[in-house]
Amino acid sequence: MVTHDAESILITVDDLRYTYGGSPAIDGISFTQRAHQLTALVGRNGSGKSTLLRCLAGWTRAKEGTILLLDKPLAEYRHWSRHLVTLVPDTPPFYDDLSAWEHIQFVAQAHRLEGWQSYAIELLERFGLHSWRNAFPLSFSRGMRYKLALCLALLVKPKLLLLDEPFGPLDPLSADHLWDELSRMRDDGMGILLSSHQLPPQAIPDYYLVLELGRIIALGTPDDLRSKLGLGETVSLEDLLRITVGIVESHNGA
Amino acid sequence: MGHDLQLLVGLRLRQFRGSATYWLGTVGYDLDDRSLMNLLYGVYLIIALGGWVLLMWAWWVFEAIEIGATLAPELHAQLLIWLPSVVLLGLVLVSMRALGSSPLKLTTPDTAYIAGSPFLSAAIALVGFVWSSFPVLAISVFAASLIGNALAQLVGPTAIANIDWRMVVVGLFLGWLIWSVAWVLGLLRLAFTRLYETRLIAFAPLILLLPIPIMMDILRWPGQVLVAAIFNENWLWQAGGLVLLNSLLLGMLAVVARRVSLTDVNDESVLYAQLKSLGLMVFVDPSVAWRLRRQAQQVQRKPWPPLPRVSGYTTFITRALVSFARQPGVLIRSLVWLVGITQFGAWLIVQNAGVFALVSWLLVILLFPPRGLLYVFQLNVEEPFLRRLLPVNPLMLLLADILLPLFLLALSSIAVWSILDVTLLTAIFGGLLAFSISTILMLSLGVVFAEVRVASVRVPYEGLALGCVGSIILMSFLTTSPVVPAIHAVLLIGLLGQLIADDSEATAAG
Repeated sequence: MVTHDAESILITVDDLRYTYGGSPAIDGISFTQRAHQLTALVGRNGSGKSTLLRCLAGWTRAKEGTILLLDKPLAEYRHWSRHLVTLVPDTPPFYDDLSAWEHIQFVAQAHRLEGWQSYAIELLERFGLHSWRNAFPLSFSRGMRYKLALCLALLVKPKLLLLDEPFGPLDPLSADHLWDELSRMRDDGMGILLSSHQLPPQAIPDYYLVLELGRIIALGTPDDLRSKLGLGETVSLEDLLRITVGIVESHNGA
Repeated sequence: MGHDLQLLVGLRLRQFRGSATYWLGTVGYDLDDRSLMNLLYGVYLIIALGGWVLLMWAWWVFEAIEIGATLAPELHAQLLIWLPSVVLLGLVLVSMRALGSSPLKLTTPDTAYIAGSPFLSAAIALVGFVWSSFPVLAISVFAASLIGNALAQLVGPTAIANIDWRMVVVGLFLGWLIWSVAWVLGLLRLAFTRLYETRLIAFAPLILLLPIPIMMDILRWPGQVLVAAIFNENWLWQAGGLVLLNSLLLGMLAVVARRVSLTDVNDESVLYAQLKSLGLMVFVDPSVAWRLRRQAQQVQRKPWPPLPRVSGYTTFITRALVSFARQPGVLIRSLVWLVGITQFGAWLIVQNAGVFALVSWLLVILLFPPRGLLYVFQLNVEEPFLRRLLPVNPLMLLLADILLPLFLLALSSIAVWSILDVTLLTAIFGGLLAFSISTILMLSLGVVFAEVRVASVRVPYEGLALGCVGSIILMSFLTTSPVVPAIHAVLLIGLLGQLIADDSEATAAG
């Protein structure tokens, strides 16, 4: 369910630019992310997806451009209060000295969450981590670490959830569970922006942002893209990427 | 076996050459360059390095001779009696270490290419033993040389004559013996599953310290060889006995190593492989290696004591307490260091010590920051993903994380300055000064860990500590009373706290 009223806009990005050395990683990106919207950020390796997510989360300072979070410049939010936006990186870090359950307990108690235990157990069970709850994340595989990071992020229910390659490290069952959870969160009002090279088979995002060389080369709902690009009934990421990048390359070649 | 040994030794020699090429390259010497100039430079390097080593060795030996000559005869006699027991204690400690974790360690390339190859495990273990024994032998020869030279002085001219050569020979065989025993025991544990699964097996060598008369005489015999060599009496045939014993142990090592599972060796080499893969980073940033060791210990433990069920800000305080309780060594080491150095510094300031003493002290606190006291804060702020999940101002987070060290520092200040023979006013402001300097050093590290920027520039710990503590020292020169520097220190604490609290957005665009 996508809403388009101005009030539901969570983040507005205008002419954002970021360079690594002299090479532009993000080259004038503008878009809006709304509440109740699940956006898939698609692009080849090095297209600027992770850099964009880091800029939106305030982990990295963009060289130029504006990011408005709930109509207020991101720069005006203090670090510690910007839990309005949570970014789960592709390799999430954890505390060396706390077990998986203690990570959840620590974050939940710090946020004064009521009745967090049942939801935490539900999340851990859904992601198959419940039997590992007393182990230290140091001993976890990459997939398990990502699942625990997702549990922490979902627990605090940020207004905008940013996920970097969430489905890459997950097994197919966990990927399905994550998609269901994200859909539920989206329906509850959360805005979700995820970068991915792969989505579960049944997953259809509300919105697509296709990046190539730091620029948005296509954006819109699945219906928009189907009509604009002549895609089939089901929009696969491979097709989307192949066609949009092909158009850009042929345009540059011409 | 011979073929395997040949291949493995060849591999290690090539690796040694690769490493030597790198290190010699850093001083401008090229191992592959056959030109005359490069050859002459090589000779120069050998003379310079060899000369330096000999010079240092001679200096230490000279110091040992000086100390030995001033020993009281009673103490000298006691030391000679205790020496064999000290050698036995060394053997026990090294054996405990070898039983705690496999003495044979494999790097990541070793795991991939050697452990997975058809090489005999005995060949791998023998080469590993010989390769690891070089530094051990150097240390044992050096230690024997110092001990022998020190203790021979009061024995007489017969003992002093050729003492260095005797000590080199006995030190070599003793070092080899200790290392061989440790390896045989360590590999025995790996060879037998029941021993491997017995957790307390690492403490088994302590049995050797039980005072059973005949057994103690036998076990103290290797140390007696050292004493005999110091006296220059009947030591040669006893050293021959050590050679025989060492040869026997080498044979045992080869036999036991055949049964060793390299899978277990791999399991116990994970940390070693990680440290080796860091290369020079281990020396450049020792905290990385320290953290890897801590993580390796942590992952084996159960999460105890538990995180208390509290809410809000109290969560941060209890989390820090739990973390320190789980890593008490981190807290104790840093706390003892900080208490010692800041109390000493405050005493220097109160005593109006000279510039040289205060500058030397300042250099020491700049070089050794109390990182351990802020390790919970560092964990809490170093990763943006975790930091964003903690809804609290960085100063409040820092205060929660260093509350226990602050409390202990305040207690130690009160204790130290109430014992010192000074006036009440001096005690109050001296204690306040010591506590304030400790707090300033911790806040300075806090500024670094919180990545606070001043005019877009990250402030280094050394800069902050130098500026703050340097200005306190300057104040102490301007007045003879400790009141002014103490009040100045308190004001600096407020300033640093403000710097950390004013963590306005520094990274995002806007």
